Amino acid sequence: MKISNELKVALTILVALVAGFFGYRLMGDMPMFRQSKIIHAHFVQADGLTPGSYIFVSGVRVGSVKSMQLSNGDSVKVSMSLDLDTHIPKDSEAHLQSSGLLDEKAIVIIRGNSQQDVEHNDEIKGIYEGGMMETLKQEGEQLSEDVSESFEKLNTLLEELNTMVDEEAQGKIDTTLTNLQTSTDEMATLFRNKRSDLELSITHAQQFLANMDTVSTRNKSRIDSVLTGLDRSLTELEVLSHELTQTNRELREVLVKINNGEGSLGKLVNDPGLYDNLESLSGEMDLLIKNINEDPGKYLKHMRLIEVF
Amino acid sequence: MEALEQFGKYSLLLYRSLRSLYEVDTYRKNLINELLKIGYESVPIVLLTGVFTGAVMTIQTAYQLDIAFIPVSIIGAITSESLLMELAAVITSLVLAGKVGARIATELGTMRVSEQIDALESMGFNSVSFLVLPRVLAGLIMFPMLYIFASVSGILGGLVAGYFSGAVSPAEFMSGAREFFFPWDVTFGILKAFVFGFVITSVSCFKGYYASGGAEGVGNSTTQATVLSCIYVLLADFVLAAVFL
Amino acid sequence: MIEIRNLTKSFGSNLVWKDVSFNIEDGETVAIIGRSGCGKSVLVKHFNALMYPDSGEVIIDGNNVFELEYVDLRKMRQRFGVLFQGSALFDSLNTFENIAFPLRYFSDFDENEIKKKVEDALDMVNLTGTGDQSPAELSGGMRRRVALARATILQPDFLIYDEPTSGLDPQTSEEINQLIISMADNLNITSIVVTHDIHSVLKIADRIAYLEEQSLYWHGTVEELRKSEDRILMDFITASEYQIRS
Ligand SMILES: Nc1ncnc2c1ncn2[C@@H]1O[C@H](COP(=O)(O)OP(=O)(O)OP(=O)(O)O)[C@@H](O)[C@H]1O
Ligand SMILES: [Mg+2]
Repeated sequence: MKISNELKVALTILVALVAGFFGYRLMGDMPMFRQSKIIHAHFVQADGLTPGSYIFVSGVRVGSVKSMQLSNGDSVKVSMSLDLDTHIPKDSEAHLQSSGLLDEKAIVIIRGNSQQDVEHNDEIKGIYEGGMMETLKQEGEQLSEDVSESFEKLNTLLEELNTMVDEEAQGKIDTTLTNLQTSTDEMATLFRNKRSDLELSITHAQQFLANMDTVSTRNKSRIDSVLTGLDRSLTELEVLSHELTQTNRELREVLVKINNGEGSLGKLVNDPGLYDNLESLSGEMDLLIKNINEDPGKYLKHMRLIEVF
Repeated sequence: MEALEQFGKYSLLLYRSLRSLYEVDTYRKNLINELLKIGYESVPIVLLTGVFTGAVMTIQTAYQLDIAFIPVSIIGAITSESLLMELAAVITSLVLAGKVGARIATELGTMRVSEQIDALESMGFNSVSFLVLPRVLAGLIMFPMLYIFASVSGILGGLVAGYFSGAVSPAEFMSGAREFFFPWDVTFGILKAFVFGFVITSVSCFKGYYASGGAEGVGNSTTQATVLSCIYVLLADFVLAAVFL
Repeated sequence: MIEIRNLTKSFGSNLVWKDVSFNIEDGETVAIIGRSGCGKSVLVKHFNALMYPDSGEVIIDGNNVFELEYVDLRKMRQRFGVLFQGSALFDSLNTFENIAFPLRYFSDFDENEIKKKVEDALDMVNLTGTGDQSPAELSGGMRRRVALARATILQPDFLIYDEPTSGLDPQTSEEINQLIISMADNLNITSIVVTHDIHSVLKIADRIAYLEEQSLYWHGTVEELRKSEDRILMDFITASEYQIRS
């Protein structure tokens, strides 16, 4: 069959229009060929966020920011397009956080517990966070302060204990040891609390670094080492906390013994194990305080990412 | 001064081509023929140009971005946006300035020096609307189509090149391309293709229609047609960017 | 009737001729002669306003062609058939389509009538059966004859022949001269023939216009030419005669 010129021309135009139409739909997220659902959230502010910024759920990229506009009142309405197969509960929260360098932001959706899933065009709660870096920094400072305060207290207590031992004021030892126990309890609690905070931070950092990882493999080793450092810090803290608990237990035993009138102060003072324990604990704590004061970065190594790059 | 005179002559030619716009019957066959030559017959070269432009864009963007911490999907975004906004229209036009422009100028130039244009006029035709109008119309109609072909093939070329070079997976490439897809880019690209189609066909017609001096004269007008088409395409590109961006 | 009044034409600073005036009566055959490059082709292109003069008028049936509205000008041009010096066949079309071209656009004939007319025209110029050859496949003389068939196909009032016989063998020239004569006699067409060929001039022309010294140097009937004693004119004529005889 001979194709007439008219047909060829018509075909050319038709193919172009069809290709253009479908290409446009494919590229432009048109409702007809929608491959994503749009949900909205209001934030107090949205600095650093741009259309195209990523959206994560539990560290998995599920979509991107479609548009942002000022809404009535003093908030910003952010529309997010999520992959069609993402299921997130209706009461989920969208956290606006730092995701990368240069003050890049991303939205992290923390899943709620609702049975109902978010539908197209639904709105979820939006929370603006100062950004991971800032949070971490604050947490770090807080932690360091808390720790040094506690250690100071502990030190005074130990000093007092020493003095009392010297003076052989046995009557006071009882209360002092009780105090000491409370302090160590506090310490333990502090570490437990802070540990979860720190763990959260580290999870954030890991998430962040995982993102970074996909970006480039070039600095992978450096990132890995930073990550390892962070893990190590956590482990150290855990060990420390563990030791404190241990000490605490020992102290309690001593206290029980004293209370039961089972031994004397001399016995207590002459017990080299306990003394050593106390001393090494004190030394360790001093070291920790010193370390944290001198180099908070050791425990917040991920803050150094900025320096790395 | 002379440039101004030339521009006047050029404008007059376009005016004369429009004067018989309504006589579709006389130039319909020519229009079909030109649509065929400018459109249908340019599709292969446009697809080829598109694929290679997209592929080169992808690989070079990947190479340049390797040092920085930027998601690889950005490669898709940069490739597709540059294609849609600039390259699909401009590179296609520069290639077609050679192919289409040279053909038009040679055809009309030969018709001029062999008195075929006089023959048309003497028969009572409006030779301008008979010869110039269908060519310019075909350019206006077909260049946006070719822009679409170049864009689609360019993005596909980039996608494939990204995949085979391992720089970016098709999924990431497309996600980047889609995230940075702005309908305005396409509007702008089509506008460009439209303008470039007009520039190339009208300049080539002008040069061919007023050719003189035998075979050598035709050669000269052909050279001028292609060179001027390219220059005016780039100039128009600049003006459009300055006006619309 | 075509009245040429005080025509002056120059290309840039290059004067072709000035102050050319003469009349061409209906039904007569006028020969325009002169040296190569004296502006004969340029002159005939003014008759249907393919070129515009610096000054002067060409008046056809009372209208100055240079002042016609474009629509009227195109109507007026359709009254002319032109055989161009280089034949000016459309090289994108074959012989048949070249001849059929004016019919397709300017007549109401159906396809069969067009076919018949074109074949008749091909017969007339002795090119029967060459309809589907392209102009590039034809010899110069054949092209000339196809162009002649195309120029006459719409039976125009005025026929301009720009050197219809130059470069042809004497026999073919003779055939073409006969065609011109029969066209003028049978169809009462007004013919304007540009030529170097004095032999055919004397055979076909009623009147002669001689361009020389950038002006219309001489014009008159064939009888007057024979009697003329103008040196320059005679030199031109006899130079031709000499060529023919040798
Ligand atoms: N389009 C043009 N532009 C500039 N000059 C031209 C043009 N056409 C013709 N001329 C000049 O006008 C003069 C007359 O040219 P024309 O073609 O009329 O000569 P001619 O008498 O027909 O010669 P021949 O017998 O060789 O055909 C020539 O000198 C030519 O150079
Ligand atoms: Mg001539």
